[in-house]
Amino acid sequence: MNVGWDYKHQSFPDFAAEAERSLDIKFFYKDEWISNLEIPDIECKSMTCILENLFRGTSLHYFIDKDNNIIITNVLLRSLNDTVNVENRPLNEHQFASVEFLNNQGDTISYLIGNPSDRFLTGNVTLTGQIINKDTKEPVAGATVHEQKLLAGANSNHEGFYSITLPRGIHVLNFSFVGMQNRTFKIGLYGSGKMDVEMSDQLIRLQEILISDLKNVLERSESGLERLNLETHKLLPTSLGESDILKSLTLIAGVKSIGEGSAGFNVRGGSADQNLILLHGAPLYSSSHLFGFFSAINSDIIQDVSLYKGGIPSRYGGRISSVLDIDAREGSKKEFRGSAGISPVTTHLLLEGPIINDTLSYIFAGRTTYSNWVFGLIKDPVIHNSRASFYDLNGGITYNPDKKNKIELSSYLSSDNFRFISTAKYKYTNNILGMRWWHSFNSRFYSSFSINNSVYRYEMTNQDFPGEEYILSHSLNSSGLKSDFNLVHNRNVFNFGLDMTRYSVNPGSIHPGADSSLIVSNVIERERAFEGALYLEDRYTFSKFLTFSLGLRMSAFASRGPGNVLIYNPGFSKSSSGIIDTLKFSSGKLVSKYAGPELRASLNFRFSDNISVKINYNRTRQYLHLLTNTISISPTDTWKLCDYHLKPEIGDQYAAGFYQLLFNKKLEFSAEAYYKEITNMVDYKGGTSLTMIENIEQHLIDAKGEASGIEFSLKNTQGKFLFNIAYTYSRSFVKSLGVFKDEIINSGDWYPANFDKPHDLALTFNYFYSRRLSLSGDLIYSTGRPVTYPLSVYKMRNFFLVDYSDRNKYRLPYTLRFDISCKISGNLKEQKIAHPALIISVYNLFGRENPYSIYFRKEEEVLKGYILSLFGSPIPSVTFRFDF
Amino acid sequence: MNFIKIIALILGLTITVSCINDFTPVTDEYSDALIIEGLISDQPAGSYVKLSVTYPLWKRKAPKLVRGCTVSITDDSGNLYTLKETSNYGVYLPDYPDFRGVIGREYTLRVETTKEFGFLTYESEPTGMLPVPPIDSLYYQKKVIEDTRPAVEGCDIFLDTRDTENICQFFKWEYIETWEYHLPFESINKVCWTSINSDGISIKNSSGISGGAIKKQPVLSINNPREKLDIKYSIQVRQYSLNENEFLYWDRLKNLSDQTGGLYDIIPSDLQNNLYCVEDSRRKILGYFSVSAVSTKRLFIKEKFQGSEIFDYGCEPETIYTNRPDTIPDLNLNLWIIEDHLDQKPPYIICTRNTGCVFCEAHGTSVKPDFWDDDK
Repeated sequence: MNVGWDYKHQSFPDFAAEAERSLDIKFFYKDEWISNLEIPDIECKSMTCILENLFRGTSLHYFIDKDNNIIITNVLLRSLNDTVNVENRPLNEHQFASVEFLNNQGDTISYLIGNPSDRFLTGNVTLTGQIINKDTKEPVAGATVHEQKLLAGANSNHEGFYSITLPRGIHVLNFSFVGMQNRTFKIGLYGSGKMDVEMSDQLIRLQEILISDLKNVLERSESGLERLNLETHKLLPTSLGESDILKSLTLIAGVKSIGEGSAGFNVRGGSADQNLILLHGAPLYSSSHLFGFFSAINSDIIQDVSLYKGGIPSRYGGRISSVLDIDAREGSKKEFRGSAGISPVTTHLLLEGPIINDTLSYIFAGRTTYSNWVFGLIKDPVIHNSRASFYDLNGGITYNPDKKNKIELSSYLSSDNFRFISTAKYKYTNNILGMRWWHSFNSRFYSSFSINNSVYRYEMTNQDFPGEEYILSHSLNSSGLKSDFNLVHNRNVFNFGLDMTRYSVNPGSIHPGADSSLIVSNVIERERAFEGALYLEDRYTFSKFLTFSLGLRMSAFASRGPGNVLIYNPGFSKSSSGIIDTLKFSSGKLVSKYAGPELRASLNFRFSDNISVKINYNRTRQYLHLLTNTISISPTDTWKLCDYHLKPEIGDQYAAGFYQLLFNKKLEFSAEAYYKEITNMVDYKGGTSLTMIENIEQHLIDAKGEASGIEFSLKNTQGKFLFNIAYTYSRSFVKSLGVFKDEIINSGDWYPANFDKPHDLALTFNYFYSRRLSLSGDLIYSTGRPVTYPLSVYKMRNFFLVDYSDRNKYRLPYTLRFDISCKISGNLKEQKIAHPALIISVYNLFGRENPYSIYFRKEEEVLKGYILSLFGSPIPSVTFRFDF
Repeated sequence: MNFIKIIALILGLTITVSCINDFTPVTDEYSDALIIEGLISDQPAGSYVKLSVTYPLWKRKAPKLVRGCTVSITDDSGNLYTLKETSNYGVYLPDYPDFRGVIGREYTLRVETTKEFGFLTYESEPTGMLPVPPIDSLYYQKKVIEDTRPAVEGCDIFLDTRDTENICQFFKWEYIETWEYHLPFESINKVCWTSINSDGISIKNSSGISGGAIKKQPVLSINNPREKLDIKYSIQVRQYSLNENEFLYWDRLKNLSDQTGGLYDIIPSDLQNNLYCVEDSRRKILGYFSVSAVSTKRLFIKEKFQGSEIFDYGCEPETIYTNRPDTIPDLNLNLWIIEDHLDQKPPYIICTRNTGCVFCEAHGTSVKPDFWDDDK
């Protein structure tokens, strides 16, 4: 690079311009660094000679990379070519847009962002960027960025974007994510800027067992947020050889289920319909297969699972207890791959790969049972003529035209078919279709838009009585439109957006089930409503010791005609004899409306490197109820929108948590306490059957709920032996608020909710003996659920009747279960076409006869009681899977 | 519970994995709540009040009836009628032989208990009597139950009624079955009759039916023709007009009693009735004070049903070789002669230890009921 023009006393910008014109080089610099710089009066032939002399005595350095870019910096940099893309902001400098550096000297790499001469300026600066999987080029959502000295932290959002606000200076930033290699960077941060980071899988999918979840609890600003470590949970033998995300959830402190094989889960004293389950960004209304024995979510497609038990961010709403956000995986953008497996219950298959490399990819996952085939082989006529099967399919297409946009089209189909002998058939489906678009305006302002449709449908065909065959059906159709924006500004991270849902519910319809059936068709008036919410939340970092988040969600609900509303005499319990007026609403007319603010606030104090305390309050409103008066929710329960009589449920939760890292941050201890109040809960007048009920308000009782608890957990998330001990003491109560005799339960006193199980201990462990062998297990102890016992019997009008105790006055015996599984992986050679793995598990190793339910039957004028244990002996199962 | 078996099978398990054990709930309370079963009807001798207490679950025991209470009813025009306990303990009947409820009137029950029940007073809400339409027809349809050779036949019994003026939206039906049967052996009274009451809850809301016409309302299915349909059968159906509250009471009661307490069953709870304790409104009081007009209809069935004659009385005859039957211990106490062949060589008798094979009174009566019409 010989310099052939008269450069002496040229100003640096002129020199650079001349050089770029005549030589194949490019300069990168910031104007203010070189503003007074003039080329000295020296004799040089080469560029390096000129630059050496030019910068001698200044704080500036330069280097020339292999593409003849001449980069001027004010720190000494070594070269070169890594996967970190640093971009300076603001972008007003000449050409200094983007520089790539690589450092060959080990793990810690120095980057410079901003102008070091700004280092004495006051105020914090913000570093933003995107975290991308190096192999698949997919964004890494939920990764943690952690500043080691200050203990400041942030998580990447769904598109992998992160934003962290720090004081100017030298920082060590650690990027971590479950299943990926940690990356640590030393950066000089002197101005707001952008740094994109690529992370690698923690090696070949076979090594998925070597996981350490480095996100520690201190770094998350939300209290009550649980992220499941998927890989360890997949190994847990909670569900008879199927890996089951919902069953694994119940191992978390504060999450309970009514019993083995029951549908739904209960978070902090909330009922099962108070959980918002989001799959592909859309609500999932039926979360289980086969009456609750298996979750309806195929673990194969799960990328990330977050459960908000409290501290629900403003962007979520519509349910009062919790949000379970399930992020589905994107298809690999690099190569075709897949996995297949077989377990005692299902066979499953996953396929993924690029359609256009790095840009367009697909993923498909499916599961199905093969039990019908087995049933057909059995001679017993009851079984031979019975059917039980389910399947679920997930499909997704992801389009990444550029770094700033990602579009995903996803679909989910779930179906259950159940037939007992040949007279009663149940079929329920939940289908989701959704599209989401993530767009980043710039690295500090990004957004997502989604539109989705979720349809839940239940159908029961009964052919028990010739002439009275009928088909009973219920459906819920919801369409959602959501736009969400994130704006990073100084110490603030603003999150705001609009969330709208349109509902259409068929409360129930009955039709003749055969040509000869005498059943008269009856269709209950369809319910139509809109739910909308506007929200704004600001997460503000006061200092490294204090983060504060304040959000407000304004939600509103409106139900529309056509429809009739009955007005009752307020002096009596609502019944059809008390109707005093009927309001008729024509199509589209507003029938009822509800609106209210939902405040979400949280504070995070960091006392030291190892201790933090969080406090939060949140209010949530729920406009959709699941009508259920059975002990466990069942697929035959129906969804009901708020209406003229039925008010939205409101939940207020106050929670506080204490978090400490122990033993050199190897152990994570947390204690969280909460108190929750639920207003406008509903209960049911005794004995009401909830199918095909036209004016449900006649059967409802106003109630309120109260729940409190304390949750302790101790976790080891590093090393070969991982464990988690979670203990919860909690109570949850309901109180009927009616004034009329049939509206009063247990004399109007507080009574335990169906899922009130005070002591709950869950212990899980994963022991990774080697890369090919791991052992996992879980031990569960919990107090038995409350039950209502029959106390005595009597006869009236010749009819045998039972007199019951107060509701939920007694308890079932406790539950104790230990499950264990062992995973043996095949040869680890990467070149092998398929990587097989065998999981051998034993469910209920102790063989304890845990109570599933008690039931009572009249036998010859005597009421006999029975206790049923579903799995009263150890149940071994073998699952085989292979990845290709 | 059935689907659990199916699910167990899906899991590749045999049903033996799940296990069912007897379970006796341990409760720290003993419930002996009072039950008031009251009925005021527009039929002569159709009104009564029966007082009893609940009894423990596991004991097969006759209901304990409650004696000595003061029972009265008042109507909305200020008449007071006292009810007197009869020789049938715990059953209280109006002290006026021609007492009949009047349609359109409201009645209130008052029960004053004895010391045993703390001298507490129970009252009902004023309950009105609604008119009831007649049962238009009561009929049966023959059906084949078992496709054997010869086929076993049974029948379904239906009724039609019509609530044209919409006077009674809520119906309840009860019935009493009576049939004639013949003992298998020659005895003093070979012809017997027996009766049983319905023990289910049969109700219907006619509001959704055009014209209020209830057609082919199932009353009863006879799926076992043996004995019942062998000679002659009769059923009397009583049709009650319920008010809405009573309908809801029975409807909810029915829902609850269909349940067993499983995970997908309705949570049991107390039911709203129309009774309360005057001194302590929280005190539990079971039962219902029904006020209803009643219409009745009777059906006779005398037809040949295949398979009806194959009835096993369980007589298991024993042959005893003796010429001195009177020396047999316990003769006519728990052993009865049904045939004697003392003239045979060697002499013998055929005996049974089952009273039902010898005496109508074991399961019924030898007295022909009043309504038994030999012509029908």
